[in-house]
Amino acid sequence: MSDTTTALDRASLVAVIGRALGAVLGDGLPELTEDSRLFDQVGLDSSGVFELLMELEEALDIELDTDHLEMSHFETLRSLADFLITEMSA
Amino acid sequence: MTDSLTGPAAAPAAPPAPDFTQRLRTAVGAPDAPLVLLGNFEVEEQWAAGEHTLPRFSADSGAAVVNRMDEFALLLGRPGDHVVLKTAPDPAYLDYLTGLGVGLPEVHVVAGQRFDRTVTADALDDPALLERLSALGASGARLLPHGTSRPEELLAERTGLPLATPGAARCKAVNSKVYSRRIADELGLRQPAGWTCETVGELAAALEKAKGLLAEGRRAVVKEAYGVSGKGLVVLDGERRADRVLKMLSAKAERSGRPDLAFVVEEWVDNRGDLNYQFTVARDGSTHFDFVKRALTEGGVHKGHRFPADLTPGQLADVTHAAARLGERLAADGYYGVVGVDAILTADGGVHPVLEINARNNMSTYQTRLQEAFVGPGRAALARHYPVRLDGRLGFDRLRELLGDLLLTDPAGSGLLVNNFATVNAGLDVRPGEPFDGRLYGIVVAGSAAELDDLDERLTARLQALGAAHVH
Repeated sequence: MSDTTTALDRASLVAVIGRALGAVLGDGLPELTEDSRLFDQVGLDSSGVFELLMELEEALDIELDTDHLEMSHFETLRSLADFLITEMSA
Repeated sequence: MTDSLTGPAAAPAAPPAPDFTQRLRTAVGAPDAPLVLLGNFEVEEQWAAGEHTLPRFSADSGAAVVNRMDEFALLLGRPGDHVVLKTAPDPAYLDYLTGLGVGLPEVHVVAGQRFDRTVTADALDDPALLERLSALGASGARLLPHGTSRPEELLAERTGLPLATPGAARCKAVNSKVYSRRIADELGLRQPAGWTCETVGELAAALEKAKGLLAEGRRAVVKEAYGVSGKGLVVLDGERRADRVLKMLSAKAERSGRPDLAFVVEEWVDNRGDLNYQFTVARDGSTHFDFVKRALTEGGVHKGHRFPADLTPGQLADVTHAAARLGERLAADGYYGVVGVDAILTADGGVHPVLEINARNNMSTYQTRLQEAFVGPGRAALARHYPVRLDGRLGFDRLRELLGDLLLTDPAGSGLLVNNFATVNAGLDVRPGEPFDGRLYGIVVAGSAAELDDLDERLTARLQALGAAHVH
């Protein structure tokens, strides 16, 4: 786990997540807020989760522990940001 | 989301061929036995249980819709058959189907359906239903699931209803992408460059070869052997991603103490069209080619399949040849029943006739009977689902009112023939009180391709304008 991103502010992290979602889902993303539900509203699907993780790992230069991922981490953009902040500060 | 179906051109009268459902019964060795149908969609999840997989999750709302695809099984049965469903179909929907002359099986509803589990799991949890099914077993009925995994086998054991399919282990084995790559090689069927991986060492070696493809500017994909079509895969667009996949799966194998893996790594081929074809393997080893359909995409988004697939004679010959060879090979390995195969058209005008084998029913399997009945010579059809978002339960009566003359009500007429209504309200109880997404599955039937497009546009507009639902 890299510590180079621990100082990343939340707004920047949310922007990184938005770009990663765009890379996975392509054009036509709805307007994102922290309350956006990734599956129901943004259009993420089960196979997209892994691609999203890879995009995030590459963008943030981190490696996530994929054994401890939970569905709740991907509920909303907020929950994903919270999860990444916890992981990056661990 | 869209399948386009066209009836054959008018031809001189010929002796009527047995319809698909009769052919299927004969193939599985139960020409006269009543069937007990079970629509356990995404049976791959069961086949993948205990296997090392790529990390993935699915939303409750998505699982709820998939589990309600059980209602498709209603249309595979005929009077005298039985179908187990998660909830009773909307009575107005049943009236609609019978009004069109569609003979239906007897419906058995589970006592306590849960949106997050399959109809099989619901049935196993319902002692009264198990008793009723036992009585059917004693009277000679056979159990025909969408696909056979351990829970369906358990249902057969607990009710004494013999399976009309091979056992779960056989079905799982022939659904493996490792198996399909191997037999395609053995049969000399063209397929993308690729490698099967059953150990971490084999995966590492395959990924090194995939890096060679990447270095040449090509792409590669890692697929779980038991993944659902289009899921359980990752496209490699660089060496870093290949290394990450290897590290993750090696760690999983090491931590679990189970070093065996089941993956394939292959070139991600730039294709000119996705095909899906179906054949039926009989217990005597004979194979019947049922149909081939071509996927339609719109703006890069998968919309379904079109039939006929508009193939050149050479492409069609490649597909039917592959079906015959695969059928023989599957029969030799003890499989019988429905087989769907995914294939692709290549940039050079050729075909890769086997990307994966789905030895189970396919979505198209449930359309076949309706296609035979409503898409006669010279007629055209478009099977699709309309994504809908609802604020509360939508009854079929209300839908019928909303669609008006756009709903098919005359067997010889034009309009939308609804072939699954349970998926519309599937998400109702996932987040009570909140709007939910559903799918309205249907086949738009028309006299010509132009009328078909017009009907489709009007149906979409009608749903949007009346505000009962909106199409994303």
